[in-house]
Order: sequence, then C-alpha cells, then structure tokens
Amino acid sequence: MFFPNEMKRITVVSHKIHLQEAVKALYDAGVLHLKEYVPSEGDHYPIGTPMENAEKISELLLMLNSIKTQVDLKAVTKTKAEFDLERHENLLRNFQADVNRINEGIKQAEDALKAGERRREILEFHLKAGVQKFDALKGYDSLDVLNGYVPDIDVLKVRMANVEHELMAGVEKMAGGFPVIIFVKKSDMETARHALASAEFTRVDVDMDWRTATPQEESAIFTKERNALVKKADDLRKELADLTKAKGGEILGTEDALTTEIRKSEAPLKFAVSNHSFMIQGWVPKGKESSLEQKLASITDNMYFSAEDVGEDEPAPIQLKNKGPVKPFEFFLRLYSLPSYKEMDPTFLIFLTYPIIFGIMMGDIGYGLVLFLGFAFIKYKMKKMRSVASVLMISSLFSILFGFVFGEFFGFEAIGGITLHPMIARAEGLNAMLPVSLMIGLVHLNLGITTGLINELREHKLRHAMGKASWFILEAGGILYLMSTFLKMETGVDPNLSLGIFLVGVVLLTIGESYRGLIEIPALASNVLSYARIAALGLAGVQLALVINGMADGMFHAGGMFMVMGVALLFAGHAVNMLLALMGSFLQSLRLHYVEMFSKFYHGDGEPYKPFGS
Amino acid sequence: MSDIAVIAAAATICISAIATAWAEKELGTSAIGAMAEKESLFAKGLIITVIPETIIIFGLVVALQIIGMAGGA
Repeated sequence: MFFPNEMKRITVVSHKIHLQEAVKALYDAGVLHLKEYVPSEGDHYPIGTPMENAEKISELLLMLNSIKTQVDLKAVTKTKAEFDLERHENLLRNFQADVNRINEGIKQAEDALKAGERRREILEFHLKAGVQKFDALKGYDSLDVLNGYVPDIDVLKVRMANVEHELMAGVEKMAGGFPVIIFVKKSDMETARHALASAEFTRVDVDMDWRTATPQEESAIFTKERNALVKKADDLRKELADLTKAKGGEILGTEDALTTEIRKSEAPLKFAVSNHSFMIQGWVPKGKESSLEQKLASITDNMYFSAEDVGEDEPAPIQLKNKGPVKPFEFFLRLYSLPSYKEMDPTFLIFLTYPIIFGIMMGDIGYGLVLFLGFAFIKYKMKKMRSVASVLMISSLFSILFGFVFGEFFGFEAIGGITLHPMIARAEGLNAMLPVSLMIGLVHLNLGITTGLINELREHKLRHAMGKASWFILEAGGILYLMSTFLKMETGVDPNLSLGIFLVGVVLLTIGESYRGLIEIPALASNVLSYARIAALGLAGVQLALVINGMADGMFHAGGMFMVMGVALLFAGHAVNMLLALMGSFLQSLRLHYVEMFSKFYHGDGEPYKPFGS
Repeated sequence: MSDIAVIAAAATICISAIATAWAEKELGTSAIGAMAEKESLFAKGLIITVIPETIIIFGLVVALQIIGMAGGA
C-alpha cells in the first residue's frame, strides 16, 4: 500500500530453437514485463529479428484495417478465432473480394443514376412543354427551333408580336421558368433574337438521342430503368449488410488472433539473439517467478532461468497496489508520473489530504450533496470517468462535512428552519480562515518532507536524510521566532534561542543538501503562503452564493412574476457557482499536491507495469 | 480606514491579477500546444501553467497587510 509492488529481475537464456516455444510460454503466463535489450558497443549479441510469419501477419492486419474502413463492424458480436494463418488469409481475401465486388456494383449503379439525371431533366422539359413527338422538333430547312425558359409567357408573346413564329409553351413553371419551344424562320432570326432577349429568354441545349418517338414512351422506359438501378443498388447494400453480419464476428475474432500473434512474432526485437542462442530479460511481481520458471522448464531442460532482486537505480516497472477507496486516487499519479521503483507510493497520502483540502474549499452541505449524487450518477454511467468520479464522490463527502463546520447550506445558515451554528464563520472575512489555511499548508508540506525523509532513509542516503530532517528543526526555530517577535505571542522560549535553533537547521540543511537547500528556504515560505488559496477560494464561493441568495430574496419580496424569476435565479445561480467552485477546488487542491507537496519529495518517472501477453 | 489605503489594496489585487493572467496566458497556450502533440503532458502542462498563481496569492497577502495596517478589516 505504501510502496509499489516488489519485482524480481528475470533472465532466461537458451538455445535459439526453443525461442518460439519460450515466447509462447511467456505470453501465456502474462506476467513478465519485458526489458528492451539495447546492445551497447562491444556486445556480442545483436537484437533479434521478427519470426518468419511476422511479415504475413502484418500484411493481413493491414488488409483487415482496410476492410474495417469499408464495412461497419460496430453492431456485430465478436466470435473467438484460434490462430490459423491459412484460414485467416482465406477468410480475409474472400471477404475483401466480396466487399470489393459489391462496392464496385453499388458504385456503377450510382454512377448510372447520376448520368440519368440530365436525361430526366431534358425529358421533363419536353413533357412540360407539351411535345407530342420528338420528330416534330427537327429536320426543317427554313426553320430554327429554339428551346428554353422564360419568366413570363405573356411578355414573350408581346415582344414576339412583330416576328412571325410558332410557340409551344408549358403552363407549369419549372426551376428555370416556363418551358417554351419557338419555331422561327431562319431569315427572321436576327429580329427574333432581340425580341427574345428582351423577354429574358434563356436558351437550353436539349439535344439528345431518344430511343422512342414520343416523350411519354421515353419516360416510361426511363422510369423502368431508373427503378431497376435503384433496386440493384439496394440489393447490393443488403448483400453487404448480410455478408457483414455473417462474417463480421469472425473478422473481429481474427483481428484479435492476429494482434496476439504479431506481438509474439515481433517480441524477439526486444531480445538479444545470436546465431545459436537467445537471452530474454524482464521483471515479474515477486511471488510469480516460480510458476514462470516451471512453465519454461517444461519446454526443455536446457533453459537457464534466474530471478534476482532489483538492483540500485534499476528501472523496474511500477505496479501500484492500493485497494478499496484508495485505489481511485492512483488516477492522480497516472496523470502526473508514476513513482520510481524505490520510492514511496504517495497515493495513500493523497487519499488522506486531497478530499480534506477540496472539502474546505468547497465546504457547503448543499453543494456537497448535489455533487455527491452527480458523481455517483457519472460513476455508474460512464466507465471511463470512474476513478475521477470516485475521487470526487469522496471529496464531496468532505464538502458536506466542512459545510457543517462553516454552517452553510447553499450559502444559507439554515436547513429547512433548523439554524446551523458555524464553528468558523468564513463568510465574514478572510481573518478566520487564513491562519487555518496556512496551518494546513504547513502540515501538508511537512507530510511531504516526512515522505522524502523515509525515501532517503530507505535508500540509505543518510546525508540527504539529514537534510530532510533539518527542515523540522529549521521550521520549529523559525516559527517560534516569528511568533515571539512579529506576533508578540508568549512562547516561553527566548527569541535568541529560537533564532539559534533556526540557524542550526540552516547549517544542517546546507550540509545535507548543499546550496540547493539554501535556495529552498524562501521557497518554503512561498509554498506555505500558497495555501492561502484555500481560504480565498472558499470565501469567493460563499460570497457568490450570498449574492445569489440576496438577489433572490429581493425578488421573493416583490411577489407575483418575480417569485418565478427568483426560483430560476436560485437554480441557475447556484448551478453556475457550484461548477465554478468545483473546477476551482478540483484544480487548486490538485495543484497544491503537485506543485507544493510533491516538490518536497517526489521523483516519479516510473514506467507502468505492462506484462507481455495481457 | 483611509480612502487611499482602500485604493492601494484594490490596486494590489488588480495589478497582481493582471500579472498572473498575463503569465498564465503565455504558459497556457504553450502547454495546450504541447498537450495537443502528447496527451500525457496534461499534468506537467497544468503544473507549469498554474505556477504564476503565486503572484496573485502574494498580492492578496499584501492587500490584507495594507488593510490591516490601515486599521480596517
């Protein structure tokens, strides 16, 4: 709970012919965190090469990814598939071929439909204009036939009054205007053109090879063809859906099988492999090494296996082992950086202090209740948010607790007629809360320093440990001195003596942590002051709540419609204030941990434990 | 409490707030840029972004000192 899980360093060496079986055994065991082998100059062992089927598997995975972009596999349920390269290849190739054929068919049908669109437009022009036979529109020696649209047929008739012409005009307006076909003598074309231009005639090209004599017959054929194309495309889409439904599960299963296999096949890239032998290194959690040894020993007797303790500064992977309500707080470490192997796991510390600091900033019974229920809902509904929601649920409980301390329920000092008696009236100014906040800061920072002290002692770095311990002496002297000189309090200790204690602390610190320790002394003061934000944030939150309540109160006294507005204001105002306070409290208390507390002890940079084969 | 002390306290808060905002603007934009490249930098980006908050906390402390010295609060 206070330290990451203990690990053992594993080394496996054997003849190269056993490599494949060894990899399989390690993968199935799923406990070994592989150490990447990096050959340094002068090493005899080069890095291994992927097994021979790796290339083929990669190719199939690539094909599978391309298939996934073409069909929708979201709705299908996965069926488990055993690894069988030949079967996987057949399945994928056949499926890909089918998908290609169907998609090609759909594309052809869609293209044909698109091409038919222009034919349909021109056909409609003829139908609307009242053409009986296509023949009537062409084959004249002395006549020109003009097709087009006009905005107004009466205007056209007036403008064309002086030109000898025949007019066929539709009565129904189309997108471009009324469809008209005008027959004019070729000799009159010049005058006709001017007349038509003044009637805003727009000419359209309707030249087309028609397969029948009349627009009606043509239209019948066209509709039939169109329906056939739509049906073809629909059928193909249905075929694709059926195919996806039938084979989709197996495809997803194949993906799993191939992904597993590619991990095994490419594992030798992390090993040292010579012409005849191989060496695998990694770490397993303590207690798992003997079962791993047995698994490997069952392959061959010629397998060297060793499990050793993790050495100094060895980058062993980190497996945190917190349980129950502490576990969700690991989220903060994953967000920041996991502890290094020898370091104390501060999750439990965060579990103790984070909710308290959050609760003080957000101390309100009403807000705490709403947030608790809200995050309970989020925890239940959204799997990804589970750890954050758990952390905030615990923190909300502390909000409720400190709500009683401050006597606040949505900013009111009463719940349903029962008056709350605040132990600390923080709404009345910073004076009450400021010293409390700074005190919390001092305690919090010293928890950090204590953790640092434990870390240094565990690593037997006694000089650094003394440096950490000297902080306590320094602080004690400094605080006593400040109390007696600046605050004029009766401490019972002579100011000169306390100054002496402080100086002893400074000297020990300088010995322990050299000049860096000296720089840290003013930093400690600014760190402590930084905790003033606990008071400031709480005050801002409660003042806003009071403003909202005051405004709503005025509206309730006005009566009538204002009552409704007052209720709306209460809801909206407290919702906004609560969200602001939530964001502020969440980030600020996180910051106090990351920036202020962690700077006293934390190294981090641990690599998460990710066993091969899980 | 004299008017000038009140104005001084208000100015302390205002100016330190502007300073904080200015510093966080510069840091925040860079941090978001880095986060867009690599999401795991969230915590480090957050820490670097919130460091200038100390400025306004000092502003707050100084403002309280001014009010205290002027005999108000």
